[in-house]
Amino acid sequence: MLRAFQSLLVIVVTFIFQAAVVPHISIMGAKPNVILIVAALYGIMHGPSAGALAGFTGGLLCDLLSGVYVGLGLLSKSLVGFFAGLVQRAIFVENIILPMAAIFAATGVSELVYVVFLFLLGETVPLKLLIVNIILPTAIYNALLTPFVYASLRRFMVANQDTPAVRIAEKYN
Amino acid sequence: MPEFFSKRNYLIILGLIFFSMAILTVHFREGENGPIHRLQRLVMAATAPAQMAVSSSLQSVRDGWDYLAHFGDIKRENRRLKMEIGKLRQTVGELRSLESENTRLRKIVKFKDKAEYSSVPAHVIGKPSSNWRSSVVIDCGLDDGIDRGMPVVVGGTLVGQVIEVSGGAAKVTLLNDVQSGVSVQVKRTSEVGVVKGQLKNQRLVLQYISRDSSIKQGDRVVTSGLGGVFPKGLDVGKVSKVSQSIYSLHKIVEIEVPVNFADLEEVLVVEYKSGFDFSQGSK
Repeated sequence: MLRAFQSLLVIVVTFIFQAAVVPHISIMGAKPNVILIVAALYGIMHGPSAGALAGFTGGLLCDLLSGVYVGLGLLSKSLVGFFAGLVQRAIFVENIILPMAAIFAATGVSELVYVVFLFLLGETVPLKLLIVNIILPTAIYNALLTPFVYASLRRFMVANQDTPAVRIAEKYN
Repeated sequence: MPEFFSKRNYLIILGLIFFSMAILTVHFREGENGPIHRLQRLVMAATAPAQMAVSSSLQSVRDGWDYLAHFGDIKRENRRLKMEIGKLRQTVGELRSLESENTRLRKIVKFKDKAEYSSVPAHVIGKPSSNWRSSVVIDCGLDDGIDRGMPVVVGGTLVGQVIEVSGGAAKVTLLNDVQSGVSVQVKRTSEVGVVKGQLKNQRLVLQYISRDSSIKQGDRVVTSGLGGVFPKGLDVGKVSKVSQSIYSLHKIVEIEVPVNFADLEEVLVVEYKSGFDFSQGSK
């Protein structure tokens, strides 16, 4: 129960960061998706269900704030959290490059899922424009932010939860 | 990895897709007062103070930096502005006498006032947090007379439309959002088209302009007033590029907007009651 509350707190704080701070730290129009990073890291650290739940909660909050299509961001983020959990053993190593690469790929997949549904709903924006102006810059930005989010999240988890995943994280610190 | 293809995983994925589609459908079909729309207003109202706090603290930092970086310029500008104020005061005096004369003459000829709509100034307190949406949150809401559907302008140019309102804040979808579509008219040729956003900062696309059209670079584009969503004649931008695909019945027209959507700080909300009934649900 306490762990669930702590996880919810992490998601809400991340959401407030995403809503209030992220718009001011965009680089050439690209904004990082911190909720997605946290959902994927939750998956990597705690498994598929936790990742999906983190993505679901964070995605829902983001959709409610900024979405005309409430439900799309929720789907892409929870799928990312879930799949990140499925590959947790392959990714959870001491080398930060691997989580960064995983977040890069996860962002690409998440944004593509979003684009597919946008097209299904009749939005017509050139795919090349979306890839060059949004998906690629966001994936790079997310990957670069991953070590910082990863470090903060791991510190919080280590301080509050004694999970095997956190123990491994601590071991490689 | 066999774990990938387990029945449980398939069920979770299907469940997630089903649940998100259910939320999407309910959101589309419910009216303005449906539970998800109410929740959206609640989330907007709850995040507005944090957005305002970050915006205003960053604004102070920016102002401080600008002051230090341009101290000499500011001093020179200050001297110049003082001189200008003197001249303007003189002009204001002259204009006031003209205004009173104008009012008197209008009464005589029963001339209808051209400025039909009043406007409410607002500060931008929240910028889009997602790459897929282009919208801002402003610090005025229902308490200030803002209503859903009202047009938002900057320097006389249309920049967006209010789509959500809570007591003290409102969300404005900007013209460069992919969801945005405004019926416009090319001023020179009187042709009507639809301006759509493509998430580019100062560029919009004008659709449905016939391939036989004489539209050219530099033509002004204003709102057409069709459908009653926006008042007629609001400036939208000017044509920056016209091209033609051999496969298309329409010309490909790009519109350049004189406003930088990414740097909006103050806006005016025009108190125009839209002819579109927003209470019937999302478009």
